[in-house]
Amino acid sequence: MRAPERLRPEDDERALVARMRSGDERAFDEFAERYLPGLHRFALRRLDGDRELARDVVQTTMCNAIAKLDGYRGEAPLFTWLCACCRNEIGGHFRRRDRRPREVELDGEPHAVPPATAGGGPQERLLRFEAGELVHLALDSLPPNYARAVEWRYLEGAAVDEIARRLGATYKAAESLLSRARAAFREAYERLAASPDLGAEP
Amino acid sequence: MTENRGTEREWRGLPEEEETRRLLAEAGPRPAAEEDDLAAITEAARAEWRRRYGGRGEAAERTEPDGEVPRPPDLPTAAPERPERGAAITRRSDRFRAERPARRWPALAVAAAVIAALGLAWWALRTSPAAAPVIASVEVVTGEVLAWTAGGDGPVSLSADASGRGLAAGSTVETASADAGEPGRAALRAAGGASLRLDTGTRVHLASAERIELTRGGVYLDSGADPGGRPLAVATPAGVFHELGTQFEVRVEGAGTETITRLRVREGRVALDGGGAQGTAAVLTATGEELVVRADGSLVHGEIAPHGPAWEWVVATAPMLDIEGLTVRRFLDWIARETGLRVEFADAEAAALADTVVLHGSIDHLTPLESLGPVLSSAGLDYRIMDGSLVVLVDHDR
Repeated sequence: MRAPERLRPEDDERALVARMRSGDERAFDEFAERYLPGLHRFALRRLDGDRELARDVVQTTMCNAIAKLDGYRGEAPLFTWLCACCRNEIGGHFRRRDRRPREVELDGEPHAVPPATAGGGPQERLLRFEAGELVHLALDSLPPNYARAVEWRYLEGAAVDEIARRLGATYKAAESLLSRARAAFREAYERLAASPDLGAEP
Repeated sequence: MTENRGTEREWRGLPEEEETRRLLAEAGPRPAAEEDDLAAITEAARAEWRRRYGGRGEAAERTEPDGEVPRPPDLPTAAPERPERGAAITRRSDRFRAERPARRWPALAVAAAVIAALGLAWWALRTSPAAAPVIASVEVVTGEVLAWTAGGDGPVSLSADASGRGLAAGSTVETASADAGEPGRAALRAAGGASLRLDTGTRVHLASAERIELTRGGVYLDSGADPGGRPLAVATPAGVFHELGTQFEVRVEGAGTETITRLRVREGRVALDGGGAQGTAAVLTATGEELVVRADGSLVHGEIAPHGPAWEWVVATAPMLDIEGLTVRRFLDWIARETGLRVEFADAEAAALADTVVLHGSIDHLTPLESLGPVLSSAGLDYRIMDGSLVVLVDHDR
């Protein structure tokens, strides 16, 4: 079996940004499709599920990020960069409203309240919650087809031939994609786990 | 069909597939976002993207994302518009209103757009280079700030979305007083590069690229750490203050025989040219010095620390630094210039970190002092403020 290739997401992302800056609207669509849902989840978790507020914050984040695209040099993954921008926007929001921000630090992961329904002690629930968010963040940072394939296979338990059918691909192609997706997920998860500052440094 | 598991790789002591399955099972499915929300955000972001990069593709040619970000057909086509800092929230709400059946909104929007366009056209004509050179641009506006054109037309409100607007020679800017409903402050960038800030209750006439006239209130001028542009002089009833590579505040209070003009030099030197109302002699004032000129021309010398409450309004009006890609050292240099604090490093390790760590993100919604904690923390640093010094140290608790 061929070993999974090492992905170079930074190259893809630099190319995507370059296309956006050149005025290619399909690149914008790809950008929105790939990063917006994850960014929205990122914000929603930090805003206690306040949908209206999350919508406002993410919209401002996206507009600010687009305004700063010229300064994006690919030193941090694009999704990480967007999350850092979003975190700053959330901090700014609470400051503007004279409310105590839950997070104001560029490097601190927010201490969101874990779900009340989770079992175990507070520490255990918190750890589980944080680990769960890491998984979701890692999935959100992947290309959408990779994330879907990983979820189909390892969350839904779909067989490879079923995944091939959903992708409209051959069994071999689906198997290969799944292998690459799993490697990308692992890489993203480890990167996020090792860098809770989500991109304060490249 | 036999599946090739291909799980020879291990992850955390388990086969990679098994660990992946365990993690996903514990995390559960990702929560789905509301499609309406994603569509609204996408269209607002698209408008900003088109404004900046002028999209080549036609909307009809776009490939719809497969089910994740559907766009309702009745969503308004994004027209180029200019989201400004903090304005996107309002715009998002407007977009949602636009989706509702009430049809009067498009008509009102058109009317508002026409009025806004006429206003901008009027302003552009009055401030066009053909009429008078643009000698400053608006960077920060808080509260109520008004402007008059060189011809005396106006006033025009410089609201918070006026950032980037040019001001021609001959313009006058006035900020609302501290006891007004919306006390006003502003930061302008002079054509020569200097930062000019207007405190509350200030009226200033931008006479030329080299001279402003302060009739009341306070202005702060920072010609930059490496001044290279044309020096800017501040004319007051007491005379003309010439900056010599510096940061200083000039304030005019009272009226008539009670008028007091006060100079506070934070850094560098300032020369007060004779020729004031009472023929004040030329005076040179240096860092940390305060000079009060009374209406009768008498002078009172004093001292002023380069940091502390006297400069709080200056710090509060500071245009924020774009930290993206800057080292911590550059950020600290900016903090020092804005706050007047001396930056010191507790040890070589802290200095090395400041020199090597590159920042990403934004501090747009924080004041300079508020940004210290988040930025330094992200670099593994901490700080203490004592006796006018900002001491930067390694945060060993991280």
